[in-house]
Amino acid sequence: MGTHRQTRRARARRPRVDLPGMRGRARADLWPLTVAVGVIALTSLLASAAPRLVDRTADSALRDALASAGARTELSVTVPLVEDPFQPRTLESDLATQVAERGTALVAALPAELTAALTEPVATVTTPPLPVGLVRSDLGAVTMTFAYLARDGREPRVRWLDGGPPTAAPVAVTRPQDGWETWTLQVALSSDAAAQLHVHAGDRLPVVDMASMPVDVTVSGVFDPADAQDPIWSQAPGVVEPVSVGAHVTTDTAVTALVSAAFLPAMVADLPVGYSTRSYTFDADPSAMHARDIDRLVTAIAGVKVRPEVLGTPRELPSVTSSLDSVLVAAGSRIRAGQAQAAVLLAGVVAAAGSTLLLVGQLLARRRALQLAQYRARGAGLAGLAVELGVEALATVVLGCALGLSAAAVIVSGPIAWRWVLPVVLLALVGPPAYGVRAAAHGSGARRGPAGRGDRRLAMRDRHLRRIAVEGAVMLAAVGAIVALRARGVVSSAAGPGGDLLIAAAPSLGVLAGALLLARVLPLVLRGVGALAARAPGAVPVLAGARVRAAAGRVLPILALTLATGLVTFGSVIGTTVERGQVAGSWSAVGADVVATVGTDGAAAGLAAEVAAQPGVTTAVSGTVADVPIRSSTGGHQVRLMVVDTADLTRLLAAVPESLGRYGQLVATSGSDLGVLLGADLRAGGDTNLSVLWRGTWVAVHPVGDAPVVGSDAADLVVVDAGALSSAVGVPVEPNTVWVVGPGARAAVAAVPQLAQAEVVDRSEWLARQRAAPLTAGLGHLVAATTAVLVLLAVLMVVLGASASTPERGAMLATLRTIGLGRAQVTRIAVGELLPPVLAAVVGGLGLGVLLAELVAAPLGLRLATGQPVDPSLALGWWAAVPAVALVVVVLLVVAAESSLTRRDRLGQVLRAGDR
Amino acid sequence: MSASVEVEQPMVSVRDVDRTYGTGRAAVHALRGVSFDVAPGEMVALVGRSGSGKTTLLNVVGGLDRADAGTVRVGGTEVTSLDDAGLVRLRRDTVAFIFQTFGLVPILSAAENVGIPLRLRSLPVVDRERRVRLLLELVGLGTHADHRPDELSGGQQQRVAIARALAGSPRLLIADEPTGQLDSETGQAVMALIRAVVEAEGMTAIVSTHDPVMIGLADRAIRIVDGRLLDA
Ligand SMILES: Nc1ncnc2c1ncn2[C@@H]1O[C@H](COP(=O)(O)OP(=O)(O)OP(=O)(O)O)[C@@H](O)[C@H]1O
Ligand SMILES: [Mg+2]
Repeated sequence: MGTHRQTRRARARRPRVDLPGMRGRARADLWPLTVAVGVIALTSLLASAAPRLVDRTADSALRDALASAGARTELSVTVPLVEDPFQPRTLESDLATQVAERGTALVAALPAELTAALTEPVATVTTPPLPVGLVRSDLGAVTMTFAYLARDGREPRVRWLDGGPPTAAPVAVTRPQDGWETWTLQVALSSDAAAQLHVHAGDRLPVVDMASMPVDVTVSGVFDPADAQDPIWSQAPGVVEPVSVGAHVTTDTAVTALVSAAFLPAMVADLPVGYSTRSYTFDADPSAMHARDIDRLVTAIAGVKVRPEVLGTPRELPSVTSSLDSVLVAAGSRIRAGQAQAAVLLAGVVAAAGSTLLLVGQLLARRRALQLAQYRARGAGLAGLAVELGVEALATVVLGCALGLSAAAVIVSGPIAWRWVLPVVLLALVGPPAYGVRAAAHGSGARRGPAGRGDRRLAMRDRHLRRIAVEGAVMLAAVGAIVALRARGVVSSAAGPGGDLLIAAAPSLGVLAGALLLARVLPLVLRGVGALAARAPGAVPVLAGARVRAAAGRVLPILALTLATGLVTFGSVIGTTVERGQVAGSWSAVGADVVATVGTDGAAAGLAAEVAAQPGVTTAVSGTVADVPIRSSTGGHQVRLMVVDTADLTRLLAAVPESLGRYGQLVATSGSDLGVLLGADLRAGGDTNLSVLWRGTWVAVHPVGDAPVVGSDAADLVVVDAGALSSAVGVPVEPNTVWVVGPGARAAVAAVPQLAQAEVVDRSEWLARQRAAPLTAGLGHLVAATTAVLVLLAVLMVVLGASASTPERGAMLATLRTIGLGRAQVTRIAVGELLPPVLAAVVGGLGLGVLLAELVAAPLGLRLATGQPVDPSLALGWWAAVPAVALVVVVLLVVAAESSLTRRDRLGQVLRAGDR
Repeated sequence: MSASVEVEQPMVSVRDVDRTYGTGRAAVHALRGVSFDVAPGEMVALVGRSGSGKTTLLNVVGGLDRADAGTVRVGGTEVTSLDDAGLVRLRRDTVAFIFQTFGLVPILSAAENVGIPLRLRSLPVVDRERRVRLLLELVGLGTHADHRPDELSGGQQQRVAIARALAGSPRLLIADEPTGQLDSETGQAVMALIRAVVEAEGMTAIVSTHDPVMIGLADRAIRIVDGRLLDA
């Protein structure tokens, strides 16, 4: 007895692996194993390719953001010139060299990550704009700025058209007016500037300094930039092309003249101490910037802004100005939102793939139940079985991962995102062996459990408690994740390591928690329906009902399918919402199908009627748009003023198919106090003591309602009635803008000759640009890909769930046919068995998906993808119903397939003794 | 066959039936030129060793399997020329089976199992329930109506199967080794029950068995050896 027990224990300790048996099993269950490999491959493909693509998208989104930020990507360091106010002025003859050396020192002093991400700085030394004594009615008052420009010690290359570079050196002259020693200054003008000023090489320019003392300036030459696109030119506005300043009443002209290294000392010495500004301007180098560096760059920029002394000596304390950090922060938020949105979608796929793999495990265990029980009955240990099944699982994982990861590497290379792949791998490794071992442990006796009634009740209670504990944990995690997501939003939460995983899983956890509740409630419902069916006179309902009830205890299939359909719905809600939100955003941003703005005031008068007469135009309205100062009791700033006839505004807004927010009604009043509609930011100010500057007159206005959300500056919009405004200032308001709505808007504008020169904003182009933006397009593709994978997984779930009961169902239906049920009837029973749980899961998933989208859409930051000023309203497209229809079709196909597979079986064989 | 049979139309008439499983070298001739008649109300025992072709023959007679050659008539209907719908009608209205493996629907209670043939006839609920109760009492299971098959012993399960077979009031009862999975005592009780109900309902019955003890209960025995009938 003792030795017997010892040998048994020894056998149990050293698990025996039966290789031929394993091979046989694998061959018999080839299709479920193939499904497992396929699911692992697909998931690891998506889970590793998507993050890489997201990273790439992030980089191109960053580049996009930098490109559209224009000059805001620059970082300027102003370093005062070292001048002594107590000494008479002298020529600092090596000033250009000093400027270059200081630049080199500055680059060395900047944090390395910054210099790596920035271009070579452009050094500028500029004077303030100085009055030029030219009387030219077409130019208004003319000012001239002198600028020295150099990059890496070299001045910009030019092509001389007239004259050339300065020849002589500065000559000292004593100014007769005050006896000061000054120096002659030779400058160069661009051809455009020279033409506008009517000056040529050799001309003297009547420039005076701020003390109205003359400065001796001669034009040495007239040039064109060798490369007009060279960014160096943008560091001195007015060089290449004079700039018109001021608006509406008077237009002045600002010109910048180029000073060479030889005359730089004279330029500085001719003005009082402290009037010349030396600065070094760096620009962001998009090709050297990566999304992953954003945080470090922002920190570095903020660092030098706060402590500029690290860049210089106390005598020349630099100051740093840059909007690059806020450009980067804004881009970073968008990118992070995009990454979080991607993570949410991926988490859904991983969760659905994991449950599919568990279903495969269950199916394998069921198919092998008899064999495993016999294996156990022959005295084999569970440990050996676990090893065998584990090896099989490992093989599927290795094969699946190899396929998926290498496919991902072909699409886009990069590191493997183990955080997504690992959960799937773990479930695939642990799930099937666990189910198999459990089947072997439980199934050796037909239904062997604890013998005594009390023991059985205890065991049941145990199972019950365990299930409640697991479900409670999932619920808690779901609630916690959703609360965290809603409280913090994806943009800030993505910053914390690990935090984003919980956030990303929030929607999946939420759907899972809802699915668990559904799995709890569903058996009760099905039992009720089954009881009703039993009362019906026919045979089909009672049999289908009994099958449904018998399967209702199996939680996993319902759970998995609800999860998958819930996530499909969630994804489609997100996708549709973004899609619709972009359209709404385009209406908001543009305000009409086409907006044409003519350069000069009044040119648009009467054009609205002409445009409206064109075919395909619903509405055309003209008005005036201008940026004007606004004054409140606390201060003033620029706002966007929209002057339009009240009736026209009503017509325009009525023609716009999207909601432009809740806006008030303009009442056409007259008198000095005007009623206006205000944008959100102005409203938030809460100030009612407002006036706007219009044609040189401050006009008091009072808010009568909210402005519609129109245009890119909708938050700073002031809308006023045209008639009221013109009677208030006593000057008619001349329209400069035409808003056109209708399918033929673009063509209509093109057909009106007076609008040929107009600046045209086309809503469909805005929409196309928005949709093509890397993050938005990437999100769209990912929604499509994950939805497709989820639908595929849902289909597999239905097939796997149905296959688990195929043998039982087949046996029962054959039995029923021997007592007189026809083929059509048994088919209806099979449909009646398989369809209700699928429908319940689909309906439950639909509800859960919408609910979850409702809960997390705002914190997901979708408006960053739609370009809307407010969160988009949720939209559910018709294609959210596609998975439901697809799954019903799959059920019917499964039934048809089973029926055609059994068609050839003779009924007589089914009930032969020994087949059971 | 004796001349007396020609006076009355036989309930079952089998002529020259062949049934071969498989083809070529693997072919098994399960039935070869089988011919016999069963008179109405007669209970015939089909006797033969394992593998002799009993099940095959019963399946062909009851329309669960098709003969390769020959004709089978049941109650004047030529079974061998029926289409699928005809076979369904035959099984629903004329023939009932009792299997060695009982053939109950495991997820239904005894009463629900017995009720299926009645549901197929769309009997009103009240009538159906009354008849199910009667039948279960007839087979001695009046108190087990709500038990599912796995809560019943083998003998009890076979009684439920008998009650279900009787439910549709078939004219022909085909039982394939109905006692094959029962111990001899239970088997004898079940056999006696079949004999009693067949007599009471005026049915015709063919019962296969290779238990010589059971043969005594039948009116007549047909012997089959390697797919051929031994002329009695
Ligand atoms: N599907 C099949 N394919 C091939 N041969 C078959 C098939 N079914 C039965 N047979 C063969 O046909 C012959 C008759 O089988 P059948 O089942 O009719 O015998 P049986 O008399 O009912 O035997 P038992 O008493 O064991 O039930 C046997 O040799 C059997 O092996
Ligand atoms: Mg047999």
